[in-house]
Amino acid sequence: MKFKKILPLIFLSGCASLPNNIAPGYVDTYKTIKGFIVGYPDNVVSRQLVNNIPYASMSLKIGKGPKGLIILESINEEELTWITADPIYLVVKNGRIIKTEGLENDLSETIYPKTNFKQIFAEDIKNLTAYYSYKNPSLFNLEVVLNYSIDSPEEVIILDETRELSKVTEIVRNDFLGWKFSNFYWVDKDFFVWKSEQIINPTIPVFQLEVTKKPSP
Amino acid sequence: MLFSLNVFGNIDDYFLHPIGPSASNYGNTGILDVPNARFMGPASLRFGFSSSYPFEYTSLTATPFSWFEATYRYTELKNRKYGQSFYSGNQSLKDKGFDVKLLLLEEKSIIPSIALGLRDIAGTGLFSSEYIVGTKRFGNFDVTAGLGWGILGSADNITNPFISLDENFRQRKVGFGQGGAFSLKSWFSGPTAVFGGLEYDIKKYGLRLKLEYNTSKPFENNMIPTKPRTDFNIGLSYHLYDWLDLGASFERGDQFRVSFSLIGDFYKDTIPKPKPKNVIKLRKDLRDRALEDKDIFYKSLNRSLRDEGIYLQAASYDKDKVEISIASSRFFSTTRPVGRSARIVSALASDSVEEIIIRPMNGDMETSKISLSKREFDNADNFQGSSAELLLKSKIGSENQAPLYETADFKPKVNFPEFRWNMSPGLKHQIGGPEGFYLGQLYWRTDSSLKMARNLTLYTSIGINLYDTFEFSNPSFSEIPHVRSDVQEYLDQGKNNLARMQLEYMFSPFKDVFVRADFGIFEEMFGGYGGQALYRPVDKKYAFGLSLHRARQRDYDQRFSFKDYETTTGHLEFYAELPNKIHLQSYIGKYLAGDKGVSFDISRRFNSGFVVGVFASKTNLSAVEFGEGSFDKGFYFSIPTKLFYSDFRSGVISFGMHPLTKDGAAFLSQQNQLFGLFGESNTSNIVRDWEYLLK
Repeated sequence: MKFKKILPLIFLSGCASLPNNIAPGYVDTYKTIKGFIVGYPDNVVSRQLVNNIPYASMSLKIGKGPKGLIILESINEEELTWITADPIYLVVKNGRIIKTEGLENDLSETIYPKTNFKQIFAEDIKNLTAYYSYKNPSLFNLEVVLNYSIDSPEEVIILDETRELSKVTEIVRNDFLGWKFSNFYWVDKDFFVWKSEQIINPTIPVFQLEVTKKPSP
Repeated sequence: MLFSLNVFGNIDDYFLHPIGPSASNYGNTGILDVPNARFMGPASLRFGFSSSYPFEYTSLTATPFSWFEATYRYTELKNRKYGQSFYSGNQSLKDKGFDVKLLLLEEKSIIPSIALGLRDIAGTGLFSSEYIVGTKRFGNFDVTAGLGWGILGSADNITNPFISLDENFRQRKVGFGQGGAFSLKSWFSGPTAVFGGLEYDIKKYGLRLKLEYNTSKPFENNMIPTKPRTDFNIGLSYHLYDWLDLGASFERGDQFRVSFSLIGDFYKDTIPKPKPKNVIKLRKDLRDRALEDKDIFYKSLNRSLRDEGIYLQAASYDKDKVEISIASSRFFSTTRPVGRSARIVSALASDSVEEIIIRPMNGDMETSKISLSKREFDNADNFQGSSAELLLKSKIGSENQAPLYETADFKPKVNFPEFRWNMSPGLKHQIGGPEGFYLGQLYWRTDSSLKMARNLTLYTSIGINLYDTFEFSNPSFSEIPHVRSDVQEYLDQGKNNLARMQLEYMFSPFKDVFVRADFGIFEEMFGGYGGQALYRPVDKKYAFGLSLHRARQRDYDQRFSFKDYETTTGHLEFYAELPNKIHLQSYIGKYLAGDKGVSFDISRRFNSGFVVGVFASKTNLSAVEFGEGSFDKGFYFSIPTKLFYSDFRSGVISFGMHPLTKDGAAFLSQQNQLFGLFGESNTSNIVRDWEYLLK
């Protein structure tokens, strides 16, 4: 539930500029506070690195943590399981995180009437009701109302490729808890989600995902 | 919006600003001026500040148990001077206070939570109060009612119920002396009042609204200038983060108060740490070859251990057994580097190896010896067994008198002399003195160590002044040798100082016996010669020690000269682990000023490594000879730095509050205390941290 719990999920990068024996405690503290406020430097994710990995991949940045690469571990129908080096598992369906494993405060289950944006916009659905369940601490079937809108296409650069993508805004609300936050999905004309900013729980930081190598159909 | 009916679990944890127990004005958990029967979770700390006119409170509250809360507080009385202007200028009066609160009864469905509290005990008594209070939750309401004595009882709206037990409870003995003594005879006596309050949580916004009936009447002893317009106070607190509360209130009908609290929960290490590095098990033929050519094994082992921040000190590889000694400053617990080393050994060793023996070291001394069955370890590491099963089939002992590095097959070459140094800014200060509330010095500290041979090291520490606000005018008038009370002279004349230059030799003549010999400048105020011995039976929960030093007082400038005062100081020491993670240290002997007596230190250590403790000493000095405070006492806590980082750290952040620098019950400051180095590595502590072996 705490911000500090989720910061170190991806490897931290060193930024030492002083020798280790000059004010080591202060340098350590400075690095931690700087990381907390400004964020941590991203790990280098290059096209070459992506091409050299034989699996589909995405970049993941959690809050102000460093950006890192995650790879596709398995496919079960529409559910894609991605894995980080830590390892943390993200189960993604139609671009949306529907389950996590390995976080301090996992999203253990979600129930959506529809997750496919193509269907949502084809049927002109403005509102949906979904249910979220969490682990540690446990919370089962929290009802949330989702509200959708879509913008005109814009140019989005992912790694070194430019794509024409439309931004879908999903507003998530639960009035009892006072939750109101927005998730963003950038979709192509086939409603494939190339990029997203998703909040699985507003007490922990945002997940930023970019597909660097698309899974084979 | 409604949420579905089958929502279960701790939904309160999912509010954006979860509301926890909030601080009273005094810093302890409560409403505004009156306390309630709520407590923070165990291993919590809260720094509080609340300001109004004329009282401003700065406090530190700790909960070593879920049923016990202690608060140390400075109160600024803005309408009173510290003393006459030639003595303390314009400084307002500061009053130190210490509170405790105990939970007597836990809240049940129909029973309220009941607590008993003592406020401003062992202080000057300006704010002394005792209370019994009950708090019950009804939905989002928390209802509090209690009986107060002392300042809290000054409304005198009820007959003291204890009078029926003893007439002595009718009158309260009031005396604002020099403080430091417990005024037991005045507790729960004199005027008594019923107080109460109401708190209402608006959880969605992290807000707590507060209303209280305050029975304190500080105007009656002229602590506040005017009679309150009302006895009702109102306020609110906003729980912005789980570590920050903000508060505001309107009190006595004419004063506003603002406050904030910083809260730390150190019960668990909540930041995930790096998992063991992936060790690829060598092919069988390669492992068998390494048994023939052991250099391959030792080099691979050395390299793999270094990747984990573990340094191989010695190794012997036999057909059925691998025995290694290791040192690491990366990890907080002993068991974590032991487990990581065992994984690496197992991956490199031949199938014929049945036993892995690991001897962790601290400096050049072995602390313990842990023997693991390779098969059981591999099973547990591969989730085919548990760490508890592994523990049952492991042996924990010690052979520190015959270190492996003297007899092992593989001994990495160590070149002496070995020189290490580090430097960083540091702070020295005097808080709460008459010349100013805070006088401080920023200095540049350089520490070095020159290791001439195993166990023989010269330590040096030098301080260079960068900036200071020292301006002292309060010399000591102590009637016993000024072994500590001349601190102002030491701070003033020793701004650039040689803080330490000490030659130290450690050895272990017998199993479980450790000895340290010292010579040189031990600390800012004393130098000399002496040593310490510790008997720590590895399989027992106790240890004995003896320290003895001939010490001579240093000159104030802290170079190489000494004053005339010289003494022999030493203590018999006893250490014991008690139930409920309580640790006891007791000392009996002669202190620096020649006074003789006993000291006790009781602390609680949580599994996270967080420690909170109190200490007190009583010597053959009278309260008058000792001076303000009557006897030596204080408290401390230490927080492992690993709790703030995503990587391992072995260090701690320590904070100690020793309210007065007095000559009585003064210990010689000893670096590398033997119990600190070796006390944590006995069987019971290794078993306590066994869960980390596989992590």
